[in-house]
Amino acid sequence: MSEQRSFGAMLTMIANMLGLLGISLVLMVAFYYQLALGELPCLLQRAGFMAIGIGFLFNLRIGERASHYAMILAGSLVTGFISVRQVALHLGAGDPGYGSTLFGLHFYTWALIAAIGVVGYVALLFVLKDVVGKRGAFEDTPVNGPTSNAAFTIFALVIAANLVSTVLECGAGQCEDNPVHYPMLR
Amino acid sequence: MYMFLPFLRAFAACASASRSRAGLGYLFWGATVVVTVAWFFHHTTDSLNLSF
Repeated sequence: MSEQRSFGAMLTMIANMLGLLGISLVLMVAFYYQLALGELPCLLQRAGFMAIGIGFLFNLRIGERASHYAMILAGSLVTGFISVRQVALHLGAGDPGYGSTLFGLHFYTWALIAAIGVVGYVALLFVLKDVVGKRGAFEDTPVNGPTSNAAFTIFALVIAANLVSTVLECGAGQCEDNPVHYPMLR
Repeated sequence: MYMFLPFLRAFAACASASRSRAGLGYLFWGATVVVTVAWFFHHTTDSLNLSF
């Protein structure tokens, strides 16, 4: 029985690691578009994704807890709300939308899809926990293996890179309404 | 309005997690979300051209 529990715990830790890497990938794609194509970002959606990622990270580094999943869901709500507001801004007929597209959809639309996707992912993870592990149990033990450390490092570096780019874009104040350059680099 | 604040706090939450300082991490995560929501309401000044 304990082997079955530890298998379930391992599986949910892998799922949390994949969640963290997924969030890092979302932020890296946005960062690629920013650096390679000169697309200036919606910073609030990025901050929302970071709030989601921190929930996955806490499950890995502090231990799996219900409150960490609540953090993921709350982060998804905030990100989804911010994204849906921007989608609604460009709903009007003839509105070409704002910024570049990826596979035909604007980034704020992708952000909304991703935020809803995270909620679905957590729902699946809970079902997975009940199927393979002890029902309702959380493994409150941190994971400190090399893969977990790598996922943590990638996420921390993405946040640090966004911090630096935000300072370059907005300085120590408010961003321009429609930013087209980095004022700190002028 | 310091736009870099959510990112700084998110980074601080990461740093807290790396040192297993759960309480501090929760505090920084909460601050990240609160500042993000506050900045969102501060920036959303355009009215929506929608009717239901």
